[in-house]
Amino acid sequence: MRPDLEPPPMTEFLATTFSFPTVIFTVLLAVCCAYWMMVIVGALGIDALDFDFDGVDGAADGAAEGAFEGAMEGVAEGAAEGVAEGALEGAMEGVAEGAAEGVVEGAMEGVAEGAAEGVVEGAAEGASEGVVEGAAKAAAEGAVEGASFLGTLFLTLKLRNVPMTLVLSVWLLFSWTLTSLLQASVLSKISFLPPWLGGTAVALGALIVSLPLTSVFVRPLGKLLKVEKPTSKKAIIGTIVKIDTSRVDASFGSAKAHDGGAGLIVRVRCDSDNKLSRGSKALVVSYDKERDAYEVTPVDDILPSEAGRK
Amino acid sequence: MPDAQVLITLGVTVGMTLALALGMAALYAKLYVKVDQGHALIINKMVEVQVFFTGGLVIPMVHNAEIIDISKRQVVIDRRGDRALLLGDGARAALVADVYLHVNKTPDDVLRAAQSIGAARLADPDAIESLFLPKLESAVEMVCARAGFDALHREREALADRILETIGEDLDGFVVDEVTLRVFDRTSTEGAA
Repeated sequence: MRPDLEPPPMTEFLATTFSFPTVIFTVLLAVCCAYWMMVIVGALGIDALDFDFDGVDGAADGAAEGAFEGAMEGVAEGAAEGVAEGALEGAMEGVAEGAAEGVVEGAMEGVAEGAAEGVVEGAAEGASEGVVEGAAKAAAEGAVEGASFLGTLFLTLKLRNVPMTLVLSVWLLFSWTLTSLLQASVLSKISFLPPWLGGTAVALGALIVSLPLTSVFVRPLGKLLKVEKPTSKKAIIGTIVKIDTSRVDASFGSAKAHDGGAGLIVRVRCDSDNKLSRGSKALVVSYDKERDAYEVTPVDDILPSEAGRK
Repeated sequence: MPDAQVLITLGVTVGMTLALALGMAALYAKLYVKVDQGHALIINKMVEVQVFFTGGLVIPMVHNAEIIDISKRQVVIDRRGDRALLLGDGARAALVADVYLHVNKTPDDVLRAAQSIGAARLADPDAIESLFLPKLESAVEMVCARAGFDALHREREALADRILETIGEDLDGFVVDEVTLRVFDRTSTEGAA
């Protein structure tokens, strides 16, 4: 083939972008872009977020916007779900059907839920609440199955701290890039496989390969965006608390635990006889789930020196 | 020329990555909700509900956010004058009991309060007072009905403890900080009218 007969690179790029298998990711990426556009628009038009907003006008607006937003959200989530499902089943039909089904179902559900929510909420509380609630519920409904699977996956890949939408976007982007590159370089030269099989293999391979890649790229962000860890139930175990009641027994007692701030008031129990009273210190031994209380033991028992000082 | 095509593809990828990064930065600048002390931010995400005490990203259309007040409240049980409390020994005592409540700064308690009481009522001191007053008042009445006037004076701490015990622990995520009793007067059984 003479070089002057080859199509210009841009044409080739577009041809690859809009042919199987890259087109799958192209479409999903487009949906993704639409989503981000909406988020940015929503961010700039701040009333979509402001939850103190208590406008009474725009019930109809709320309904319409809720429906639209819900539908868009449903499409995005449905598509994402479809991809996840498809990847799991590992079949081309899975991807195609899953995506199609996800899109359709997500959209339908999104419209219905979004509209209903939008009408009710919008009428009751005004436009902004309607949009946020309606869309959030629609999205949750549409995504709940795929999301729980993704949730586990993200947890293992340490992507928990990063917004899931960002992770999905980056994942899709990398898959798109990989598929596009592979299609141009490898797939076009392979002739012994039927095109649909090769294409599916490339698409799935790209999805799988780009997942750890996404993890590597996004994980630093997770550290940046990390939020403070709230005091967990277990964190108090092993610390010393100050008793707030005149006695502590098997069914009564409360104590103040130090958490670096105002302190936590926790229920404490002690099954054995003790001399705990207001102001005395006790060691938290364990957390009793059934009583929803902490078991404590007087510090004096274990630290005689402490008792001596007192 | 496949090389040029590869370059275009990579260029598009880099461009979109940059756009995403910029978008995220803009988002955080715009959508990060900060939380004042004494409050908690609850974000309903797609899969789970999370509680933040410093701040969190609230994405419109995907998240629903509520800020709830978890600071200390005071419920005043005023039993003076006509409403003086009948004691176990037949005397009547004019007393005021102050009960201090707050929501522990833990996700569990914050969620419990938010779910059973709701952000609107949590922000309204009157609503909290009217919600808890019956339960707290009945606890004070019950304990005082079994105590004499002497006990009210000498063992006030023990009484406060017993009130605490009677109130129980089911306060929708709230915990009792403290119960204080202020005794004003002994009213005669015949009534001071």
